[in-house]
Parts: sequence; structure tokens; C-alpha cells
Amino acid sequence: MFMCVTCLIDGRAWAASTVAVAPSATSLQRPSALPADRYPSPTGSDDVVCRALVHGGMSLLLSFLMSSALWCSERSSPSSRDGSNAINAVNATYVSTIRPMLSKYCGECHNAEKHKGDINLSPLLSSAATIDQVLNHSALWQKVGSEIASGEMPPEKSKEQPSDSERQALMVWLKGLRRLQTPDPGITVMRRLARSEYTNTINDLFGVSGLAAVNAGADLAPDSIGAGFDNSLSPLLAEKYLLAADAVLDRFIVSDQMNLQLIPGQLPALIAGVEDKGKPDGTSRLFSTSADIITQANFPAEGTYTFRLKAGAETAGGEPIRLAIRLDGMVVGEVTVKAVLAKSATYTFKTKLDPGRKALSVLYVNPKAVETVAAATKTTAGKPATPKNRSVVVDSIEILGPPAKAPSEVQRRLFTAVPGKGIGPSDAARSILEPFATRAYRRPLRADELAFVLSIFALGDAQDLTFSDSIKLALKAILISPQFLYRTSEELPGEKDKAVTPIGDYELATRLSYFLWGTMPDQELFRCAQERTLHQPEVLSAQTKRMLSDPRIRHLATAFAMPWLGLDKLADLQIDEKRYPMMTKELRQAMYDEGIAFFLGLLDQENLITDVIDSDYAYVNALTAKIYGMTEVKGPKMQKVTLSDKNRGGVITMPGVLAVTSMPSRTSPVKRGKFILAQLLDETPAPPPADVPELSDQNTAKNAALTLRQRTELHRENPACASCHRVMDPLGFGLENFDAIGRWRDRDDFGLSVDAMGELPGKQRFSSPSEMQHILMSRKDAFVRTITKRMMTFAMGRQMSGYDEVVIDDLSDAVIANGYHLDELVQRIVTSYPFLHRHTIK
Amino acid sequence: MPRFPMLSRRTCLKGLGVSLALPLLETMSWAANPPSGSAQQPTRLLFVHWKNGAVASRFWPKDEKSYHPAMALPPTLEPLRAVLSETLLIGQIKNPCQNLGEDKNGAAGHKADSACWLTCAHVKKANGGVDIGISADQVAAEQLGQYTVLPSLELGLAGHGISGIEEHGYSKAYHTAISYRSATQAIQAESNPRAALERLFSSRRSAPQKRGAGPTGPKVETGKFASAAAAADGNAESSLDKVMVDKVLEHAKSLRSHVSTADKRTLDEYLDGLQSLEKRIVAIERQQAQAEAERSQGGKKKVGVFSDPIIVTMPMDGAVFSERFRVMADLMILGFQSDVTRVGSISNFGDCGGELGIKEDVHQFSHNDPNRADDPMLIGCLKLELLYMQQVAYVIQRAKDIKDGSGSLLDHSIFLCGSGMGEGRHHNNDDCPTIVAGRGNGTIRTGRYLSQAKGTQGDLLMGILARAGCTVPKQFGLNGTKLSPDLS
Repeated sequence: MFMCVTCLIDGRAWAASTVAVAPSATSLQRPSALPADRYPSPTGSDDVVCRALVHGGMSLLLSFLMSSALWCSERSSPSSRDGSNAINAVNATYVSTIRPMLSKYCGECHNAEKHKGDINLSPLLSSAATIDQVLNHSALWQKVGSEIASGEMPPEKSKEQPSDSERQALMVWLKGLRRLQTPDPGITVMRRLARSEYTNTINDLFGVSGLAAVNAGADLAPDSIGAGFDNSLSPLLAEKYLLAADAVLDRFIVSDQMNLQLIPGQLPALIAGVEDKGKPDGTSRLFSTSADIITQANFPAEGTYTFRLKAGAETAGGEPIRLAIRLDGMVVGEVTVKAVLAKSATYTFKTKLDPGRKALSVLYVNPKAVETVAAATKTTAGKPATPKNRSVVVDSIEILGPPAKAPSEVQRRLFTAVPGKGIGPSDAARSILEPFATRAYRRPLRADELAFVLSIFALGDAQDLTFSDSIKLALKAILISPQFLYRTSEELPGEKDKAVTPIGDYELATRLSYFLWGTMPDQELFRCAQERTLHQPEVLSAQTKRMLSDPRIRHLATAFAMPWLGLDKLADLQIDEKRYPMMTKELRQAMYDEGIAFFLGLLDQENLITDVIDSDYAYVNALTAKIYGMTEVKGPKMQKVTLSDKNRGGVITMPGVLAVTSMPSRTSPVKRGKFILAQLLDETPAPPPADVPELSDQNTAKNAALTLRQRTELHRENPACASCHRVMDPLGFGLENFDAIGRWRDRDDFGLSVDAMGELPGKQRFSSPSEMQHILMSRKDAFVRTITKRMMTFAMGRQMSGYDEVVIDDLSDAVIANGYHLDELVQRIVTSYPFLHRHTIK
Repeated sequence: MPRFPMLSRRTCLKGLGVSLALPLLETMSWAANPPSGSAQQPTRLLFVHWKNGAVASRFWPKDEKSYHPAMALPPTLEPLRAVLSETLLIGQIKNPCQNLGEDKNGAAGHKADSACWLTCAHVKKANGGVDIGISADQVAAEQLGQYTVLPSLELGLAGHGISGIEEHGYSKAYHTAISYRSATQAIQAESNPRAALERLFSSRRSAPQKRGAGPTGPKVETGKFASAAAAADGNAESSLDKVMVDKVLEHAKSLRSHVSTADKRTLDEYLDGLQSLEKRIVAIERQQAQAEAERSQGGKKKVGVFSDPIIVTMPMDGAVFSERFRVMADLMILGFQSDVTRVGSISNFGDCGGELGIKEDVHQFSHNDPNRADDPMLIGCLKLELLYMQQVAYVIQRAKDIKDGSGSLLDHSIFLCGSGMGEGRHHNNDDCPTIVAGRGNGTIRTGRYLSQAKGTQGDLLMGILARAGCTVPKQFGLNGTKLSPDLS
């Protein structure tokens, strides 16, 4: 029983693969096509929807109820007949073929009494079961499908084995069954930017690239785009975003020169120990003995500051009046006021200061005790009141900071306006911040969002920050706002009550841009979004084409293809340096670059998506050429070369792939076999059960004489292991001619001659990598479906399930029908139903 | 209330060997004790996790009596000899997660190891996301964290991320994270010691200050006035960053009405993260101001009952696992010593066998045959376990050596060191190696081996939380129902 559940793949799929794939069992409309009216309502009919409602299960009932309103209203009648025809066809095949087959081959173990492996098929096998009831078990059907696809069931020991055509019939029927599902783009969530996306977006937002680019996300935790992305924002992450924003803005935004004008009459003061508030009209203040003007000033940078005091005094006793300026209690300068009250003059001093906000006070230094009298005032317009004693009036204090550094090029570009003639600070701020926030949020701002951004500028402005520092504060707020850190949707009119809606043009631009470039939309995409034309099929197709030929498409290779092929592990791959001293940092990089070049090469029309399995070319530089055994290639640049060696080609024989599927000091046929199954054929073997020692555990005296192959075959003595390993191991041994860093060899890690013979289920024999690749090529359509599913998962940022399977079927069929091109796949994905729609739970 | 010595910038920097900006360190002060006003030192909690359990026959003592520094110890426990009297070893603890994951094939196994250890909840596939339960350290962080600049500090040795999905449909987080802020939010451990140091002693000084006050405090002689002005402003002692973050928060709340139900949760997590940041800015500024005030009043070091701050030496590139572990342990101890945090964890050791000549994935060594002494997997596994135990001993000894008021830091701490698996080869999650160290301010009876636990893992965690002064929920995880009877 244990075996039945856990062990996959004994490889009948290999045999079955030679059978031609029957055309789709249904005639339903393809959701991936774009009809003329905005986005299509996809497959199915009212009939289907209503059934799906019944089948959806209680937990989904609510969302179906909501979406059904949409579907029912948009569905047209002709397809309704198709829908019920589809159900009838599925039902007919079920009764005539599928049910008898399942009863015959599966019913003996998976019935209500035995339910081996916790699988009970009796509800599906009862002749009393209606088609509705049969359809209701989608999870069970999915399980049946994967067991049959992998060929695991029925177990080998079972005498009754279905024929290949019977298996095929079941697969075709299941495909038809899947098509009866309600179209659903999947629950759409606001996605946080991944680390690479964050870095790219910051650079694009500030318009820097190449040497000027910043690695803003360097301190963020590593992550990967696609299923299982960690979308949350922990306190640690919040802090890192703030620090990153600080670092970026400190680099790009230079503080203006401080030029602060203070009117002492407006400022609070202590006069003879009594608090005296300043007057808003700017009435200047007449100082007497113990008066002290108090305020604070923000000094933006380290350097020499010039203080200018305009003052006049009435003295007595022949001693000139002295005023001291103090910052945070320390005297930083002193002036002697000789001008008379009626004719005030300007007195200047300079001092070096550290940056920061400091308390500023102006103190009357040399009063005489007997002359202590309350302050008098003069109005700015009127004549001074006659002081009874030594008095001083300070008309203004001007602080001029050290000359600012020249604004960076980024700042000059961002600061489309500065306050000055004809434009006030808040208008200038708006003309800078509104376009910036629109780009940062990747959609037009709502009124409250604009008001928020401007309020942060106003906050800084009210605190006497320089204009550029206030802008900087607002930019910082934008960079830690959810609308920037997450991809949020624009709200379209009339979508409030609908669960499933087409996405807007801005959201489409964003999806497209992050999928292909890993960054925010560029000007051109924003333009299409603004003109609301991006969703039009010809515009979307043209833009996608443009994006595919832009250098930024490299993102698809680094963020999608490299993790898929495991080449992102190369940099940190543990390797036995003694055994493989040539595996330097440079070689690792070259292996990685080869993967990038190969994947990007697939976008050329001359290359096919199936080149991944086998190709007659490779990309090499001087370092990897040595691994390939070529001598004529020079230099660090990747060059496309034609392979004369039939045993090389595709990703399977790529040195990087061979290295990441090896152990530190030897090859691992199991890992290599697993790579082919999981990454190319989407047949991930189940994890090994507990209490099974790893292979090298058997490295004992008794086994020392055995070859790696013989020892690996020990695995297969255990029936718990055999069912997976009988496919995994032959594939891996087919690559034994390549060592742990991908060089050709005739003797293995133990000095024995390499035996690359293998036999796959279905008596498919091979004796070299080339012959194995030939057999794999017979399963190229399964590979196309795998890469379709992987790329779709990447594009949508979530696991594929339910209706997605139908979409994947359609997309891969289209890619196959149109000649196996990667750009075709990308075009199909960006025009697919899930990509163009959003499912929102209100 | 005891006052701590102030950290001098020089003391800490001299060990670093590199120039590292530590603006706050010179103004380090110490947070107040819980309002209870008790004279005792706060209890610090540390969780140290290693993976894949331990080979039982080389780990567990033959009986309770033989767990004694003077007796022969099982080989794996040997490094603990010097601190044995400070520890409590507990056997046969039940964790509820054994083989109850969604896959019947003992799939919980290695995944439950990290994820279930402090949550006592099942791992679920959740479409590649995280769905488990809050972890015990985060319960503590929520409550004890309000007294400190950092509610908790999660350190890891390997930089493995929590994003992504494993090939069998489980979130990667289950493998790499032991701490969960909520059922759906795993915590990424900080693996860069420099970043951890900066996080412990960061400064907000670079941010423009709001008018009214700042970390330097009102220094003018007429200070009365300045503070009056600040009070009138309604926002005394805050930087513009704090006010700005406030406004971002407020605005982000308004975004809730524009997003879907699913996104509301995401947004709430965002708000939660940002709120913590805001509190942290406030706490740091308060500490800076407090330290500044103390210093301006001529506060001198009160040396004697407290050790000088320990010196942390930053690792060079290419440092081996044990060197890196010690840096992380030192940072953690420094965090406890300076009361920057009271809750911490060290986990995610990664492939740490380099210094033992082990290059392979350490996991595979746990699938060994303990009955064959020459099994290379067994030999490797025992070497690794010995290495782990040396690190556990190190962090315990470090805390023991630090004077902390009336006793040692260890006396005022509870360290839980262990694994979430019994033995890797069995994929079982019960009978896990469990070492409690420290006396928890007199609430833990150490120097014992309890061969047969009376409580479950959940009870143990509840018992630890309660002893650290936390209010404990009626139930914790799937099997915590009472305060563990095993600890005192």
C-alpha cells in the first residue's frame, strides 16, 4: 500500500509517448485567443457554468455565485450548445469506456473496503453515479490522471495491465473533463516586488543604468519569483526598505544650500524669564537684558555657515552692545552692534558646523544690571520706541549654508521645477512628485494618493527643510508605500461588483513588464496604457515583440530559466577543489552565462524550444570550450558554435547543468535522472521514504568492488525504490560519460570504464547520450507542456491549478502547432485568459 | 531599578578590526524593566535549532543518574560537560507533527523539523504559501518585546530565503524558518553578521529631526522653553522619519477600502511591519535621548555587578561554520547584555560541514545506519552533531561568564536548544533532542536529565513562556495544554 501512494513513474509514459496525441475531445472555444470585443468571455456556456456551480463545492460557492452573474450575462447562446455537447461527450465516453476500464484495472484495490493508499474510487465506479457526481471529484480525477500519466498504476505486479491505447484514451478523456471547468484566472493578489524587481525598478524610476545603477536591493533576503513567493512584509524587511530608500535618496538627491531667513519678531523669546510668543506680522523685537530669542534650525550639511544679523542698538555708557548666537547652548559667534536703532546695519560672522537640527538662540551679552528694563518694541513701519536703556533691535537673521554640491544628474532630471519666480514651493513640489509617484505606483494616482504625497512635502517644508530635503522626504514616503512595494491594481469603472474582470491597461503594462523585464513599465508601455490601447491584440503583440528584442529580456533568462535549470546554484555550488581545481569562479560564471545565452538564443526564429532537449549548437567561451573539448575558441565572450559531437547539445549536456546535478566529488546519475524527469518532463519523483540510506552509504568493503552502476542498482532491489529509480537511473547513467563538471570521459570516478547503456520502459534502449536524447526527443510535446507550465507559473506568480491546466493544454498545443518557438509561447502567455484577467474576492 | 553601564564606543569597536559605523553605541542606554518594578533582571529567551535530530544511541545518556559532569557522557553530549550543571536534558518529548502532514509518507519529517519545533503545528501546502501557527518565540516577542528596541532577533547561519516552493509543493519557508509571526508569516533570519550588528545598534541620527527636540535633546539653558514649544507641537522627541512613517501608515490604512479580501491580509501584514518600524524608531530615539540625558548629568559607569560589553569580532570572508556561529552567538549575547532585545533565535545552520571536510548536503548524513560503526554516513553525522553541540556549549558558556546583576546572564535566561526531529533516518518528530539551559531567574531546575518527559513539546514551550513572564494562551499549538511539569 505504501508503494502505491509514494512511488511514481515506472515509465509507461515513455512507451505511450509514441502514440499520436488525439485532437482535443471538445470543440470549445479557446480562451487564449483574443476576440474583437475587449477580453473574451472564455470557454463554456451557461450550462457549464451552472454545472460548475453545482460541482464547485461549498467553499467555492460564493465566488462562483459572484462570477456566474458575469458569465451568464456575457455568454452567448451558440456556445451553450457546444458546452452541453461537451458534457454529453464526456459522459458517453465515461459510460462506454472509462468506467469499465477503471473497474477492471483499479476497482479491485481502490474500492470502499480496501481503499488502498487511501484512494477509494467507488463513487466514480458505481453505475448509479450520475455524470454530475462523477465530475464532482476533481481532486480524485487529478490524482488518477497523474498516476496514469506517470504510469505508476496499476502496480507492476498486477496481472491486469491496460494497453497503451487504453491509457491514452483515459488521458484524452481527462483532458476533456478538465475543459468543463469554469474559466477562472485564479485569485489575484497584490504582489510584493522581488529583490531583483525592486533593484531594477529603483534604477528605472531614477533613470540610471550601467555604471550609475545602484544595487538597492542588495541587503534584502534572496527570493525567487513564482510559486510560493513570500509576499509578507516583516519588521526586518520594513526596516531594510527604509534603509534602502535612505541610501538611494542620499545618493541621488543633494541638499540645497541652506538659506534661512528668520524674522526675530515672529519667533518666541524669553524676556526677563517670561515666555513671549512672536508676532505673525513680523514686528521686530527690542532686546533688553535677559531677552533670548529661541528657535530651531536644520543645518543640512557639514561645512561653513554664514550668519548675517541685521540689527541696530541704543547704547549707554560708551560700551558697544554685543550679541551672541548660540546653537544647542554653545556660543558659535558674536557680533558687536554699532549701528543706531534708526539705521540698522548688517553684521556677519562665519562658523563651521555639523549637520542636524539645532536650537538657536540670540543673546544679549553685555547688559548692565541696573539697566534691566522690559523690552520695548518698534513696528517695522513706525518709528522706534525710545528705549529707556541700552537696547538692541534685531531686524533679521540670515543663515547661509555652505555652497551645496552640484545637484546630481538624476536630481536635475527629476526636479522639473524649483521654487522661484512665478512658482511657489508647493506648485514646484507637485510638478515633481506627481509624475514620480505615478511612475512609482505604475498607474494614475487617486486624488487621496496625490494629497498624501504632497502632505509629506508640506511636512518637511513646514519644518524649514530645504526644498530638496522636503522633496526627498516625500520621495522616501513613496518608496516605502505599499503602492510602490506592491503591485496594486487601478480601479476601473463598473468593476465593483464583479469577481472576475479584465485587467486595466496599466495593470497589463505592469504584468507584462515584470514578467518579461522584471521591472516597471517603460515610457512606451505607459503610453499605451495611458491611451488605453495596450489590451488590443495587435498592440499587445507588437509591444511583446518589442520587449522580446530589448536587452532587458535577459530578466526572463536570469529570473525564470536559471532557477528552472538549477544554474542559479552554480555560484555557491560545493565542489571538491582538489579533484576539480579548474572549477574557478570564472568558470562557474561562464557556465552560467552559457545557460543565459542558450535560453536567449531560443528567442531567435532559427532556434526551437526543443533545442533544450538536443541541439547541434552550443554557446561557449574560452573557458567552457575546454570543457567541451574545443580548442579554437578564444576570449571570455559567449560565442555560438556548431557542435560536431553528436553526444553534446541541449541543456542536458551543458557543463553547468551537469555540474549542479553532481555531488561535490563525483557524478550522481540519480540527480541527473531526476533533473530530466522533474525539470523537463514535469514528473517529479516522490521523495525517498525514510530509513533508506543514501547511495554512498553502501561504500563498504563488501561493495567496494562494485561499479557505481552496480551499487546504484542495489537501490532497485528494494521495491520501495525500484519504481522511481528504474526510470531515473537509466537516464542518469546515460550521462555517465560526463564528469562532475561536464567533461567527456571514458572512465568513471572510480576508474572503471563508463557504461552508458540504458533501457527505459517500453524496451527503449540506448548506449550513448546522443541515443538517449533521441528517445527524449520523442517526448518533446511533454517537454513543451512542462516549459509552458513553468513559464505560466512564473508569469502569474502562483501555482497552477484547476482551470490553469486547461490553459496550459491550449498554450502548449498552440506552440506545438506553430512550430515550437519560444517567442510563440511568450506571446500565447501574455494573451492567455489568466494573464488578462483578475479574480478578486471582495 | 538597576542601571547598566553604558557601552563605550571604543570598547565595542576595538574588537571589530574593521571600521564600522556604530553611531548609537556611544549613547547606548538600557531599557527599563517591566513595570512590575521587580528588582530582578529580565528573563531572556534564546532558541537554538539544529536540523535532523541526533543519532539516539550516541546522544541519550543510559540513565538519569549518569547525566553528571563526573560521569561518562554519551559521545555527542561530551562538549556540554563544562556546562552540564546549567542544563536540563529532556527525553521522550511528544511533538504532534509526526507523520501527519498532508503526505502520509512521513512527509512532515524534515519539513516539520524547523517549522514545527516552535509552533507545534502541522505544515500545510497552502498553494505554496505558509500556513502553520505562531511560534513560541514570537509570542514572547509580542509581549517582552515592548520593553526593548528590538522585540526579537532572529539570526541564521545560512542565507537561505523563505521565498519559493519546494518540489513537492511545500513552501521553502518550512525548511528555513523556525519563527512565525503569525500562521501565515514566516520570519527570515538575518544571516549577515554586519547587518545584525547594525540592526542591534542602529541609529536614526541621519534623519532630519522634527522641530521641537531630537536625540540630542534640548540643550539650551532656557530648555524649559524649547520643551514647552515641543509639547505644544504635540509631537515631542520625534524625527521627521517617524512622523513620515506615521503618515504613510495612516494613508496605507485608507488603501484597505480599495483592495480585495485577500489583499487586505497582505496589507495588514504590511501595516504591522511598518508599525513595528515606527515603534522601533521611537524606541531608538528614546534610548538615545535617555542616554544623552544620563551622560549630560555626568553619569559614570557603574562597573562591578555588570560585565563590560563583550567584544564581537566580525568574521572574515570564508570563515567556517563554527567561527560564524560564534559571531552570531556573541551578537545575541551582546543584544541580551545591552537589553536591546530579550528574545532571540539562532537557526538555519545550512551546509556547515566544511570545517569537517564534509562538502555534501548535511541532510543525507542523517540517513545512516547506527548499527554499523564503519558507515561513512554515520561517521559524518556524528561529527556534525558533535559540532552542533560544541556551539550549544559555547553559547551557554558565554552567557554563564557574563555578570548580570546578582548572578550571571545565564541565570536570568532560558535557552532552548534542540532539533525538531528525533532521528533523521526515521523521519520522526518525537523524542527530539531537547536541552534547556539557564535558570530563568530561578524558575528552572537544571543539572538534570529527565528521561521521560511528563509534558509535550507544546507544554514545554508554554512552560518556558510563562517562566519568562509571558501571558500564555490556554492552548499552544496542537498539543500545548498546560505549563510543562518538567522544568522546575
